[in-house]
Amino acid sequence: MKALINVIIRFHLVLLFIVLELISIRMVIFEDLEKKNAVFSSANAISGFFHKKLNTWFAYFSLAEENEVLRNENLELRNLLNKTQIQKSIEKINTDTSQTDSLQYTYISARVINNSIYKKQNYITLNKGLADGIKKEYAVINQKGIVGVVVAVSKHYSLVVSILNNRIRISAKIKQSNQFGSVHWNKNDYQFANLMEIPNHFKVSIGDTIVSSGFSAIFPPDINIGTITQINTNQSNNFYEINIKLTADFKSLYYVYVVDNSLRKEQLFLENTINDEH
Amino acid sequence: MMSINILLRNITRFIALVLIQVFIFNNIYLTGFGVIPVIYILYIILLPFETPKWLVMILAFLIGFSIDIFSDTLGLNAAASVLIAFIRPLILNKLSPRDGYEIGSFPRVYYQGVNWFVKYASSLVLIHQLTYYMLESFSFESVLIIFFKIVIASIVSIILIIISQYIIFRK
Repeated sequence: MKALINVIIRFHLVLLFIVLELISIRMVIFEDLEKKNAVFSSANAISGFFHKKLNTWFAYFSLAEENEVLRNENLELRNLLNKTQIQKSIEKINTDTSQTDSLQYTYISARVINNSIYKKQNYITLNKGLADGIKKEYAVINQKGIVGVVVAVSKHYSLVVSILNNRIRISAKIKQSNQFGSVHWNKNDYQFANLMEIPNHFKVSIGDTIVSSGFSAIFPPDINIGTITQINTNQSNNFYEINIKLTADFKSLYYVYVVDNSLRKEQLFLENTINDEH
Repeated sequence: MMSINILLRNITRFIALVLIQVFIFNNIYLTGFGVIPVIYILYIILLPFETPKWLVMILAFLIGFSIDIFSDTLGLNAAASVLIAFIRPLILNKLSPRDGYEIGSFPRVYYQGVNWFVKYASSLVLIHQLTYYMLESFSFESVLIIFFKIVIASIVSIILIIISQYIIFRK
Protein backbone atom coordinates (compact mmCIF):
# COMPACT_ATOMS: atom_id res chain seq x y z
CA MET A 1 0.00 0.00 0.00
CA LYS A 2 2.74 2.40 0.98
CA ALA A 3 4.60 1.50 -2.18
CA LEU A 4 1.50 2.21 -4.27
CA ILE A 5 1.05 5.63 -2.68
CA ASN A 6 4.70 6.34 -3.30
CA VAL A 7 4.28 5.45 -6.96
CA ILE A 8 1.22 7.66 -7.26
CA ILE A 9 3.03 10.60 -5.65
CA ARG A 10 6.08 10.06 -7.79
CA PHE A 11 4.22 9.77 -11.09
CA HIS A 12 1.22 11.97 -10.31
CA LEU A 13 1.85 14.22 -13.29
CA VAL A 14 2.04 11.40 -15.80
CA LEU A 15 -0.99 9.71 -14.22
CA LEU A 16 -3.04 12.92 -14.33
CA PHE A 17 -1.98 13.40 -17.94
CA ILE A 18 -3.07 9.87 -18.88
CA VAL A 19 -6.41 10.20 -17.09
CA LEU A 20 -7.26 13.55 -18.72
CA GLU A 21 -6.20 12.32 -22.17
CA LEU A 22 -8.26 9.15 -21.79
CA ILE A 23 -11.34 11.18 -20.84
CA SER A 24 -10.87 13.48 -23.86
CA ILE A 25 -10.09 10.78 -26.40
CA ARG A 26 -12.97 8.67 -25.13
CA MET A 27 -15.26 11.62 -25.86
CA VAL A 28 -13.82 11.99 -29.36
CA ILE A 29 -14.12 8.34 -30.34
CA PHE A 30 -17.25 7.17 -28.58
CA GLU A 31 -19.39 10.23 -29.09
CA ASP A 32 -22.91 8.81 -29.03
CA LEU A 33 -25.49 10.73 -31.04
CA GLU A 34 -28.38 9.08 -29.21
CA LYS A 35 -27.12 10.12 -25.80
CA LYS A 36 -26.10 13.61 -26.80
CA ASN A 37 -26.89 16.19 -24.16
CA ALA A 38 -27.85 19.75 -25.07
CA VAL A 39 -25.97 21.13 -22.05
CA PHE A 40 -22.67 19.91 -23.52
CA SER A 41 -23.31 21.35 -26.97
CA SER A 42 -23.68 24.65 -28.77
CA ALA A 43 -27.44 24.39 -28.11
CA ASN A 44 -27.06 25.21 -24.42
CA ALA A 45 -28.53 28.42 -23.05
CA ILE A 46 -25.31 30.51 -23.00
CA SER A 47 -24.07 29.46 -26.40
CA GLY A 48 -27.54 29.74 -27.93
CA PHE A 49 -27.95 33.26 -26.54
CA PHE A 50 -24.67 34.52 -27.99
CA HIS A 51 -25.12 32.80 -31.33
CA LYS A 52 -28.60 34.26 -31.63
CA LYS A 53 -27.33 37.77 -30.84
CA LEU A 54 -24.47 37.48 -33.33
CA ASN A 55 -26.81 36.03 -35.90
CA THR A 56 -29.24 38.95 -35.69
CA TRP A 57 -26.34 41.32 -36.46
CA PHE A 58 -24.88 39.33 -39.31
CA ALA A 59 -28.29 38.52 -40.78
CA TYR A 60 -28.40 41.99 -42.38
CA PHE A 61 -25.63 41.06 -44.77
CA SER A 62 -27.52 38.09 -46.16
CA LEU A 63 -30.99 39.67 -46.31
CA ALA A 64 -31.07 40.02 -50.09
CA GLU A 65 -30.05 36.40 -50.63
CA GLU A 66 -32.55 35.15 -48.06
CA ASN A 67 -35.34 37.11 -49.71
CA GLU A 68 -34.45 35.59 -53.06
CA VAL A 69 -34.58 32.07 -51.59
CA LEU A 70 -37.94 32.67 -49.92
CA ARG A 71 -39.41 34.24 -53.08
CA ASN A 72 -38.39 31.22 -55.12
CA GLU A 73 -39.90 28.90 -52.57
CA ASN A 74 -43.15 30.84 -52.62
CA LEU A 75 -43.25 30.53 -56.38
CA GLU A 76 -42.72 26.78 -56.24
CA LEU A 77 -45.43 26.36 -53.64
CA ARG A 78 -47.87 28.42 -55.71
CA ASN A 79 -47.19 26.26 -58.73
CA LEU A 80 -47.66 23.14 -56.65
CA LEU A 81 -50.95 24.47 -55.30
CA ASN A 82 -52.28 24.85 -58.83
CA LYS A 83 -51.33 21.31 -59.70
CA THR A 84 -52.83 19.76 -56.58
CA GLN A 85 -56.07 21.68 -57.01
CA ILE A 86 -56.51 20.23 -60.47
CA GLN A 87 -55.66 16.79 -59.21
CA LYS A 88 -58.09 17.08 -56.32
CA SER A 89 -60.96 18.03 -58.57
CA ILE A 90 -60.24 14.96 -60.69
CA GLU A 91 -59.85 12.55 -57.80
CA LYS A 92 -62.60 13.92 -55.61
CA ILE A 93 -63.78 10.45 -54.76
CA ASN A 94 -60.48 9.26 -53.32
CA THR A 95 -59.96 12.09 -50.85
CA ASP A 96 -60.76 9.97 -47.81
CA THR A 97 -57.61 7.87 -48.04
CA SER A 98 -55.21 10.78 -48.47
CA GLN A 99 -56.54 12.59 -45.41
CA THR A 100 -54.34 10.82 -42.85
CA ASP A 101 -51.34 11.14 -45.12
CA SER A 102 -51.32 14.91 -45.12
CA LEU A 103 -51.81 15.09 -41.35
CA GLN A 104 -48.93 12.76 -40.57
CA TYR A 105 -46.23 15.44 -40.85
CA THR A 106 -46.28 18.83 -39.17
CA TYR A 107 -43.68 21.51 -39.82
CA ILE A 108 -41.98 24.03 -37.54
CA SER A 109 -39.95 26.82 -39.11
CA ALA A 110 -36.61 27.62 -37.45
CA ARG A 111 -33.60 29.82 -38.07
CA VAL A 112 -30.03 28.54 -38.33
CA ILE A 113 -27.93 30.44 -35.78
CA ASN A 114 -24.73 28.41 -35.99
CA ASN A 115 -23.51 26.14 -38.76
CA SER A 116 -20.28 24.36 -39.59
CA ILE A 117 -19.34 22.64 -42.83
CA TYR A 118 -15.60 22.09 -42.63
CA LYS A 119 -15.23 19.64 -39.75
CA LYS A 120 -15.50 15.86 -39.87
CA GLN A 121 -18.53 16.00 -37.58
CA ASN A 122 -20.64 19.01 -38.46
CA TYR A 123 -23.55 20.30 -36.41
CA ILE A 124 -26.14 23.04 -36.83
CA THR A 125 -27.76 25.06 -34.03
CA LEU A 126 -31.36 26.24 -34.40
CA ASN A 127 -33.10 29.08 -32.57
CA LYS A 128 -36.04 26.93 -31.45
CA GLY A 129 -36.26 24.18 -28.85
CA LEU A 130 -38.48 22.30 -26.45
CA ALA A 131 -40.65 25.37 -25.84
CA ASP A 132 -41.50 25.48 -29.55
CA GLY A 133 -42.35 21.78 -29.75
CA ILE A 134 -39.08 20.43 -31.13
CA LYS A 135 -37.98 17.04 -29.86
CA LYS A 136 -35.14 14.61 -30.45
CA GLU A 137 -35.09 12.73 -33.77
CA TYR A 138 -37.20 15.22 -35.65
CA ALA A 139 -36.17 15.60 -39.27
CA VAL A 140 -34.70 18.88 -40.52
CA ILE A 141 -35.19 19.89 -44.16
CA ASN A 142 -35.19 23.06 -46.21
CA GLN A 143 -36.89 23.92 -49.48
CA LYS A 144 -34.13 22.20 -51.47
CA GLY A 145 -33.68 18.98 -49.55
CA ILE A 146 -32.65 17.12 -46.44
CA VAL A 147 -30.46 18.95 -43.92
CA GLY A 148 -30.17 16.69 -40.87
CA VAL A 149 -31.71 15.25 -37.72
CA VAL A 150 -32.30 16.87 -34.31
CA VAL A 151 -30.08 15.13 -31.72
CA ALA A 152 -30.35 17.34 -28.63
CA VAL A 153 -32.82 19.97 -27.47
CA SER A 154 -32.63 22.61 -24.77
CA LYS A 155 -35.47 24.92 -23.81
CA HIS A 156 -35.01 27.47 -26.58
CA TYR A 157 -32.40 25.95 -28.88
CA SER A 158 -31.76 22.65 -30.62
CA LEU A 159 -28.73 20.85 -31.99
CA VAL A 160 -28.98 19.23 -35.41
CA VAL A 161 -26.55 16.68 -36.74
CA SER A 162 -26.09 17.71 -40.35
CA ILE A 163 -25.79 15.23 -43.25
CA LEU A 164 -22.19 16.46 -43.31
CA ASN A 165 -21.29 14.23 -40.38
CA ASN A 166 -19.60 10.86 -40.75
CA ARG A 167 -21.64 9.47 -37.84
CA ILE A 168 -25.06 9.37 -39.49
CA ARG A 169 -26.47 7.45 -42.42
CA ILE A 170 -29.72 8.32 -44.13
CA SER A 171 -31.97 5.74 -45.71
CA ALA A 172 -32.43 6.75 -49.35
CA LYS A 173 -33.58 5.51 -52.74
CA ILE A 174 -33.01 6.29 -56.40
CA LYS A 175 -36.17 8.01 -57.54
CA GLN A 176 -36.11 6.65 -61.10
CA SER A 177 -35.59 2.98 -60.24
CA ASN A 178 -36.80 2.74 -56.63
CA GLN A 179 -33.56 1.07 -55.60
CA PHE A 180 -32.78 1.50 -51.89
CA GLY A 181 -29.46 2.44 -50.35
CA SER A 182 -28.06 4.81 -47.75
CA VAL A 183 -26.38 8.19 -47.92
CA HIS A 184 -23.19 8.63 -45.94
CA TRP A 185 -20.76 11.58 -45.84
CA ASN A 186 -17.06 10.90 -45.39
CA LYS A 187 -15.44 13.61 -47.43
CA ASN A 188 -13.85 16.99 -47.00
CA ASP A 189 -16.29 18.62 -49.39
CA TYR A 190 -19.60 20.04 -48.20
CA GLN A 191 -21.20 19.69 -51.64
CA PHE A 192 -20.85 15.95 -52.12
CA ALA A 193 -21.71 12.71 -50.31
CA ASN A 194 -21.70 8.97 -51.03
CA LEU A 195 -24.57 6.64 -51.85
CA MET A 196 -23.85 3.18 -50.47
CA GLU A 197 -25.33 -0.30 -50.68
CA ILE A 198 -26.53 -0.19 -54.30
CA PRO A 199 -25.71 -3.64 -55.80
CA ASN A 200 -23.78 -3.31 -59.06
CA HIS A 201 -26.16 -5.36 -61.19
CA PHE A 202 -28.72 -2.56 -61.03
CA LYS A 203 -28.72 0.07 -63.69
CA VAL A 204 -27.91 3.54 -62.41
CA SER A 205 -27.05 6.58 -64.46
CA ILE A 206 -25.49 9.95 -63.88
CA GLY A 207 -28.11 12.59 -63.12
CA ASP A 208 -30.50 10.25 -61.28
CA THR A 209 -32.19 11.87 -58.29
CA ILE A 210 -31.71 10.50 -54.79
CA VAL A 211 -34.63 10.99 -52.38
CA SER A 212 -35.40 9.87 -48.84
CA SER A 213 -36.92 6.41 -48.66
CA GLY A 214 -39.41 7.06 -45.88
CA PHE A 215 -38.37 3.85 -44.11
CA SER A 216 -36.67 5.47 -41.17
CA ALA A 217 -39.64 6.99 -39.28
CA ILE A 218 -37.72 10.27 -39.21
CA PHE A 219 -37.85 11.67 -42.73
CA PRO A 220 -40.98 11.95 -44.85
CA PRO A 221 -40.58 9.95 -48.09
CA ASP A 222 -39.50 11.54 -51.39
CA ILE A 223 -37.58 14.53 -50.05
CA ASN A 224 -34.64 15.41 -52.27
CA ILE A 225 -31.14 14.53 -51.09
CA GLY A 226 -28.98 14.85 -54.18
CA THR A 227 -28.18 13.85 -57.76
CA ILE A 228 -25.68 11.26 -58.95
CA THR A 229 -22.49 12.78 -60.36
CA GLN A 230 -20.09 9.85 -60.54
CA ILE A 231 -20.39 6.05 -60.56
CA ASN A 232 -17.51 3.69 -59.82
CA THR A 233 -17.78 -0.09 -59.82
CA ASN A 234 -16.02 -1.86 -57.01
CA GLN A 235 -15.08 -5.41 -58.04
CA SER A 236 -14.35 -6.63 -54.53
CA ASN A 237 -17.76 -6.28 -52.90
CA ASN A 238 -20.44 -6.14 -55.63
CA PHE A 239 -21.58 -2.65 -54.69
CA TYR A 240 -21.30 0.59 -56.61
CA GLU A 241 -19.36 3.52 -55.23
CA ILE A 242 -21.64 6.40 -56.11
CA ASN A 243 -20.91 10.10 -55.62
CA ILE A 244 -23.86 12.41 -55.21
CA LYS A 245 -24.11 16.18 -55.22
CA LEU A 246 -26.26 17.33 -52.32
CA THR A 247 -29.21 19.54 -53.27
CA ALA A 248 -29.27 21.50 -50.02
CA ASP A 249 -26.70 24.30 -50.03
CA PHE A 250 -25.05 24.00 -46.63
CA LYS A 251 -22.92 27.07 -47.09
CA SER A 252 -25.90 29.42 -47.23
CA LEU A 253 -28.37 27.87 -44.84
CA TYR A 254 -30.67 30.43 -43.23
CA TYR A 255 -34.09 28.90 -42.61
CA VAL A 256 -35.03 25.27 -42.13
CA TYR A 257 -38.18 23.29 -41.39
CA VAL A 258 -38.26 20.85 -38.50
CA VAL A 259 -40.59 17.96 -39.32
CA ASP A 260 -42.59 16.04 -36.77
CA ASN A 261 -43.82 12.62 -37.86
CA SER A 262 -46.88 11.99 -35.71
CA LEU A 263 -46.88 8.27 -36.54
CA ARG A 264 -43.23 7.85 -35.59
CA LYS A 265 -43.91 6.37 -32.16
CA GLU A 266 -46.33 3.86 -33.59
CA GLN A 267 -43.88 2.74 -36.27
CA LEU A 268 -40.98 2.42 -33.82
CA PHE A 269 -43.14 0.52 -31.34
CA LEU A 270 -44.23 -1.92 -34.03
CA GLU A 271 -40.67 -2.41 -35.28
CA ASN A 272 -39.40 -2.97 -31.74
CA THR A 273 -42.05 -5.55 -30.85
CA ILE A 274 -41.20 -7.48 -34.00
CA ASN A 275 -37.50 -7.34 -33.15
CA ASP A 276 -38.18 -8.56 -29.61
CA GLU A 277 -40.14 -11.58 -30.75
CA HIS A 278 -37.28 -12.90 -32.84
CA MET B 1 -3.00 40.51 -2.38
CA MET B 2 -0.83 39.96 -5.39
CA SER B 3 -1.92 36.35 -5.78
CA ILE B 4 -5.63 37.22 -5.57
CA ASN B 5 -5.00 39.75 -8.28
CA ILE B 6 -3.38 37.10 -10.48
CA LEU B 7 -6.22 34.66 -9.76
CA LEU B 8 -8.91 37.18 -10.74
CA ARG B 9 -6.96 38.15 -13.84
CA ASN B 10 -6.70 34.51 -14.88
CA ILE B 11 -10.41 33.85 -14.38
CA THR B 12 -11.41 36.84 -16.52
CA ARG B 13 -8.82 35.85 -19.12
CA PHE B 14 -10.29 32.33 -19.21
CA ILE B 15 -13.81 33.60 -19.88
CA ALA B 16 -12.71 36.28 -22.32
CA LEU B 17 -10.58 33.90 -24.40
CA VAL B 18 -13.35 31.27 -24.59
CA LEU B 19 -15.85 33.89 -25.79
CA ILE B 20 -13.41 35.45 -28.28
CA GLN B 21 -12.42 32.04 -29.68
CA VAL B 22 -15.94 30.66 -29.98
CA PHE B 23 -17.87 33.66 -31.18
CA ILE B 24 -15.27 35.48 -33.25
CA PHE B 25 -12.46 33.22 -34.43
CA ASN B 26 -14.57 30.09 -34.93
CA ASN B 27 -16.44 32.05 -37.59
CA ILE B 28 -13.31 33.12 -39.45
CA TYR B 29 -12.46 30.57 -42.11
CA LEU B 30 -9.03 31.19 -43.58
CA THR B 31 -9.24 28.94 -46.64
CA GLY B 32 -11.64 26.84 -48.64
CA PHE B 33 -10.86 23.96 -46.29
CA GLY B 34 -12.17 25.86 -43.30
CA VAL B 35 -9.01 26.41 -41.30
CA ILE B 36 -9.71 28.19 -38.01
CA PRO B 37 -7.02 30.07 -36.02
CA VAL B 38 -6.70 28.98 -32.37
CA ILE B 39 -6.34 31.90 -29.98
CA TYR B 40 -7.58 30.38 -26.73
CA ILE B 41 -4.30 28.52 -26.11
CA LEU B 42 -2.89 31.94 -25.23
CA TYR B 43 -4.36 31.05 -21.86
CA ILE B 44 -2.05 28.07 -21.42
CA ILE B 45 0.88 29.96 -22.93
CA LEU B 46 0.52 32.90 -20.54
CA LEU B 47 0.08 30.98 -17.26
CA PRO B 48 2.80 32.13 -14.79
CA PHE B 49 6.01 30.10 -14.54
CA GLU B 50 5.27 29.12 -10.93
CA THR B 51 1.85 27.57 -11.68
CA PRO B 52 1.93 23.96 -10.39
CA LYS B 53 2.23 21.52 -13.29
CA TRP B 54 -0.90 19.58 -12.31
CA LEU B 55 -2.90 22.81 -12.20
CA VAL B 56 -1.73 23.77 -15.70
CA MET B 57 -3.01 20.43 -16.97
CA ILE B 58 -6.38 20.75 -15.24
CA LEU B 59 -6.84 24.33 -16.45
CA ALA B 60 -5.89 23.26 -19.97
CA PHE B 61 -8.45 20.49 -19.83
CA LEU B 62 -11.12 22.91 -18.59
CA ILE B 63 -10.52 25.53 -21.27
CA GLY B 64 -10.26 22.90 -24.01
CA PHE B 65 -13.47 21.28 -22.83
CA SER B 66 -15.29 24.64 -22.71
CA ILE B 67 -14.25 25.36 -26.29
CA ASP B 68 -15.41 21.86 -27.26
CA ILE B 69 -18.85 22.37 -25.75
CA PHE B 70 -19.44 25.60 -27.65
CA SER B 71 -18.12 24.36 -30.97
CA ASP B 72 -19.51 20.78 -30.87
CA THR B 73 -16.13 19.09 -31.07
CA LEU B 74 -16.37 17.15 -27.78
CA GLY B 75 -12.94 16.04 -26.62
CA LEU B 76 -10.83 17.32 -29.52
CA ASN B 77 -9.64 20.62 -28.04
CA ALA B 78 -9.44 19.10 -24.56
CA ALA B 79 -7.09 16.34 -25.74
CA ALA B 80 -4.83 18.75 -27.65
CA SER B 81 -4.72 21.26 -24.78
CA VAL B 82 -3.89 18.68 -22.11
CA LEU B 83 -1.02 17.47 -24.28
CA ILE B 84 0.53 20.93 -24.64
CA ALA B 85 0.04 21.53 -20.90
CA PHE B 86 1.98 18.33 -20.24
CA ILE B 87 4.76 19.31 -22.64
CA ARG B 88 4.95 22.99 -21.55
CA PRO B 89 7.38 22.44 -18.61
CA LEU B 90 9.74 20.50 -20.89
CA ILE B 91 9.80 23.33 -23.43
CA LEU B 92 10.22 25.94 -20.68
CA ASN B 93 13.17 23.95 -19.35
CA LYS B 94 14.73 23.67 -22.77
CA LEU B 95 14.40 27.41 -23.45
CA SER B 96 15.37 28.48 -19.94
CA PRO B 97 18.21 31.02 -19.59
CA ARG B 98 21.37 29.83 -17.83
CA ASP B 99 20.32 31.01 -14.36
CA GLY B 100 16.61 30.24 -14.70
CA TYR B 101 13.66 32.56 -15.19
CA GLU B 102 13.70 35.79 -13.21
CA ILE B 103 11.39 35.80 -10.21
CA GLY B 104 8.32 37.94 -10.81
CA SER B 105 8.59 37.65 -14.60
CA PHE B 106 5.99 36.12 -16.90
CA PRO B 107 6.19 34.13 -20.15
CA ARG B 108 5.64 37.17 -22.35
CA VAL B 109 7.52 39.14 -24.98
CA TYR B 110 7.96 42.07 -22.55
CA TYR B 111 9.94 39.97 -20.07
CA GLN B 112 11.58 37.28 -22.20
CA GLY B 113 12.10 38.91 -25.59
CA VAL B 114 10.58 38.21 -29.01
CA ASN B 115 13.02 35.51 -29.91
CA TRP B 116 12.27 33.43 -26.85
CA PHE B 117 8.53 33.96 -27.11
CA VAL B 118 8.31 32.97 -30.78
CA LYS B 119 10.13 29.70 -30.09
CA TYR B 120 8.01 28.96 -27.03
CA ALA B 121 4.59 29.89 -28.46
CA SER B 122 5.11 28.34 -31.87
CA SER B 123 6.18 24.97 -30.50
CA LEU B 124 3.03 24.81 -28.35
CA VAL B 125 0.76 25.93 -31.20
CA LEU B 126 2.29 23.40 -33.62
CA ILE B 127 1.90 20.48 -31.20
CA HIS B 128 -1.67 21.55 -30.46
CA GLN B 129 -2.67 21.76 -34.12
CA LEU B 130 -0.93 18.51 -34.99
CA THR B 131 -2.87 16.58 -32.33
CA TYR B 132 -6.12 18.36 -33.13
CA TYR B 133 -6.21 17.54 -36.84
CA MET B 134 -4.77 14.03 -36.46
CA LEU B 135 -7.45 13.17 -33.89
CA GLU B 136 -10.17 14.78 -35.96
CA SER B 137 -9.56 12.79 -39.11
CA PHE B 138 -8.36 9.47 -37.64
CA SER B 139 -7.33 8.34 -41.09
CA PHE B 140 -4.55 9.10 -43.47
CA GLU B 141 -6.49 9.27 -46.72
CA SER B 142 -5.92 13.00 -47.03
CA VAL B 143 -2.50 13.56 -45.48
CA LEU B 144 -1.88 16.50 -47.77
CA ILE B 145 -5.02 18.34 -46.71
CA ILE B 146 -4.34 17.69 -43.03
CA PHE B 147 -0.77 18.93 -43.45
CA PHE B 148 -2.02 22.01 -45.26
CA LYS B 149 -4.55 22.73 -42.51
CA ILE B 150 -1.97 22.31 -39.74
CA VAL B 151 0.54 24.62 -41.44
CA ILE B 152 -1.92 27.42 -42.29
CA ALA B 153 -3.71 27.30 -38.93
CA SER B 154 -0.45 27.26 -36.98
CA ILE B 155 1.15 30.13 -38.88
CA VAL B 156 -1.88 32.40 -38.56
CA SER B 157 -2.40 31.47 -34.89
CA ILE B 158 1.24 32.18 -34.06
CA ILE B 159 1.12 35.56 -35.81
CA LEU B 160 -2.07 36.53 -33.95
CA ILE B 161 -0.65 35.36 -30.62
CA ILE B 162 2.52 37.41 -31.15
CA ILE B 163 0.49 40.46 -32.17
CA SER B 164 -1.52 40.08 -28.96
CA GLN B 165 1.72 40.58 -27.04
CA TYR B 166 2.08 44.07 -28.47
CA ILE B 167 -1.57 45.10 -28.20
CA ILE B 168 -3.10 43.53 -25.09
CA PHE B 169 -0.46 41.77 -23.00
CA ARG B 170 2.14 44.52 -23.26
CA LYS B 171 3.34 44.28 -19.69
